[in-house]
Amino acid sequence: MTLRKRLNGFDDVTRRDFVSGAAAGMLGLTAMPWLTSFASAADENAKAGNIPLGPATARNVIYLYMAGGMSHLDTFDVKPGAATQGPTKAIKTKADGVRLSQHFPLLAQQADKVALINSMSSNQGAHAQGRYYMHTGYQLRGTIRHPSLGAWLEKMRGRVNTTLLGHVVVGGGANTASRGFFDASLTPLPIGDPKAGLTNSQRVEHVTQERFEHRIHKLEKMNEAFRSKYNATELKDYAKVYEEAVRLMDSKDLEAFDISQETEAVRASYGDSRLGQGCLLARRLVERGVRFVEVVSGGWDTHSENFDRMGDLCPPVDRALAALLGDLEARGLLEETMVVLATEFGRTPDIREERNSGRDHYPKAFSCLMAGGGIQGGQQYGKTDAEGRNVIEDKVDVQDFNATIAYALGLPLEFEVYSPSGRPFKVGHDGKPVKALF
Amino acid sequence: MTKLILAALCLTAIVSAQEMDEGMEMGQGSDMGGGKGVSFERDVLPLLRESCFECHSDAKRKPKGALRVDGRSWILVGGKGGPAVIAGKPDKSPLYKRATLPDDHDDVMPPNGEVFEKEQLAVIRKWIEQGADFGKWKGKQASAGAPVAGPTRTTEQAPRGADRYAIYRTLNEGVGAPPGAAIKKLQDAGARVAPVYPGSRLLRVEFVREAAATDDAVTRLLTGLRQHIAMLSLAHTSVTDRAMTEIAKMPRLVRLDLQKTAISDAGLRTLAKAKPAQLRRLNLYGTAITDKALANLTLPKLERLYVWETEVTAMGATDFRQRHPDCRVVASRDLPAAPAGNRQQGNNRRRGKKKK
Repeated sequence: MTLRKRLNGFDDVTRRDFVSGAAAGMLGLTAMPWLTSFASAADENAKAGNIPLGPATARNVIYLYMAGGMSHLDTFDVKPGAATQGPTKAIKTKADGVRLSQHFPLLAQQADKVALINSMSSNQGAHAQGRYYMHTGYQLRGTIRHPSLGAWLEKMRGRVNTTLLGHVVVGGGANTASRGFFDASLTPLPIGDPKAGLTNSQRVEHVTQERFEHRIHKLEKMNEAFRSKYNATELKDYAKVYEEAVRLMDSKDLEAFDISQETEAVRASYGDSRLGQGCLLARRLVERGVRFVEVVSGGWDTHSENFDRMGDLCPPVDRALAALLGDLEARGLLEETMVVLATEFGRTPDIREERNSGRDHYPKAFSCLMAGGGIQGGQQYGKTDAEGRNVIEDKVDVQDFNATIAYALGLPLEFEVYSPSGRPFKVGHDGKPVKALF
Repeated sequence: MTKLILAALCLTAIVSAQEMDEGMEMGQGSDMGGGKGVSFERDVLPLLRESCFECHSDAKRKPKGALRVDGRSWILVGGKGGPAVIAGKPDKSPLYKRATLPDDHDDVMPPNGEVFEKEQLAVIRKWIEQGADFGKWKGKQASAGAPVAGPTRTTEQAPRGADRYAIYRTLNEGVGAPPGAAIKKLQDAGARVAPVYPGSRLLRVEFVREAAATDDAVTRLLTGLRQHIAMLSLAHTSVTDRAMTEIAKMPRLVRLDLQKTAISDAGLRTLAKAKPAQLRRLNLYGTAITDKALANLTLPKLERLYVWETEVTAMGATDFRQRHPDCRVVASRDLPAAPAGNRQQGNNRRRGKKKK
């Protein structure tokens, strides 16, 4: 195996973003103070009357992110017979007229729940930029960090379960979910390995409960003087993070993070992949009131050996997604939980023979998927031309895509939130929600 | 902005009038039993079918003026001129207004001199004045799977299920502000209490945090908010059939989630007796209920029933489905079979295998 291939095989999230991710984590609490101008959970009553529409169609989001850029032609936008298709075959699905690639036989059984969006289009052709744009609806800049959807949701609508964190990222990295310029308490909780769950969440054995409480109390005492002298928001945020961590440690809801409580059969049905187990964890979390869970799956940057690798990459996604949809539906959760599959861009219709049939980055046209949370299943929205090169119908740009999710969640798209530097930002940026999907 | 508010008000008005008739004011039957009022299906629909469907239905790939009148939600959503009908206000309803223009007016409907008779107009007028009640008629809804033609394609269109949540707006009209003290008490007991949508006086109440710690004692706290609770979740809590006595007294309950509780047939009997008129979602997944409970249950407005992992058999589910044709009964879980034997999952392992 060549070194190149070996590198490509790793999660690109890990490979590219480890350093910046770590840095962001360490600096997480040094953000500038910001006056909350939008109500969170407790204030929902008070803010009443601002958005007179009706209940949102979705309350939770499970956001599956294919890091690296997922080939649209080999997944959700098949073009049988086209020169650009390569060896990938199309299969029929349970929904009339909806086709998937051969790699998604299980999802095909659930196609009546799913809306494929074949007319995605971005203007960002590099990983970090594309990923950032997809998550926030804003372009990556040096001067500001924009919040991603989970942070917007928690900011505007608060938590459902006040003990668990508002949003969680499984297997993520930098340029995926982020609190952006929102305060530290809106930082997503990162979970590395879904099987390990939430690590370091138990009191170490040699510290008794009493002793632990004593220590926390001491800490409070020590901080008190400092806090009264420097009364800054980020200090309060910091205290809040501590407080929440302790509350979580004591909570029975902690079991949400433990997927070993599921039966062997259920775990197997999701597949023994990181994504599969991540989806199972996501379901457990949503069930207990976590509103936004992102699960990241890496390795989609198929510059070389695209077709071989799609055969490896797709089956775990197929299995995880099919199991997730079936499981959510049986529990009555799918109605209010939107499942999204997104990626930063598609891959070139032209096949690079010089790299064993690879495909390069292609933001101009690609595909994503939505299901549940009010989405009308069994449809293919938008179209690319016969070779999958250009969007020819119902283009959905990245801002529209974000706005559509926000719309389903009932977030006010026109509401402007000001950054610390006083500039206005909106959830979904200037995107228009694609209402035909509902 | 004013326009938007107006449009929203109109929409609220039309559905409120209509839903009120259907259930809120007890026994004051809508078109179904009576002979004196105008019935949409009997009197109005034939007129629309005769004179409007040709251009304003799915017969046209692009209905004129982006308006369809072959389905209740299409009429409610309306076309380029907003909702086609505004309940109680014939003179503000485009559908009626356009039809009453002078015969030689450019905008008169139907066009080409095929105008409505005076008596026909009177019927439409009366129907709108009476609150534009569609009765049980739903008409065409956007079908799943079919490639969507015409106006639904543009991002400007209202969602297809526009009247999906109209019920909450309607029920909201019948109730005052919820008492703050009662909300506070409930919150102190660990509940999450929120308006069903921002600005609504209806409440969504749920016990999410450490759900198992919640038991029947909590039902006492629900009493004060009985009129306001539209969505109630006791999922995963320790409540028993006894809680059902209180739940059965909630007149505006639209959604009830009792999954993974000790609720049994006895509790469901209590609910069945109360005949909750607005109940549309009932989640009983993971409870011990049986066919017997379902056989005694009639919920005319129910749209979803979840009974996976209960004692309900396929036959029981089928029987319920037959009696509730508009209800989707979810009785099983569609999970992919576990991967066969030694087939390995995940790219890393496969790659490892190749190396050998």
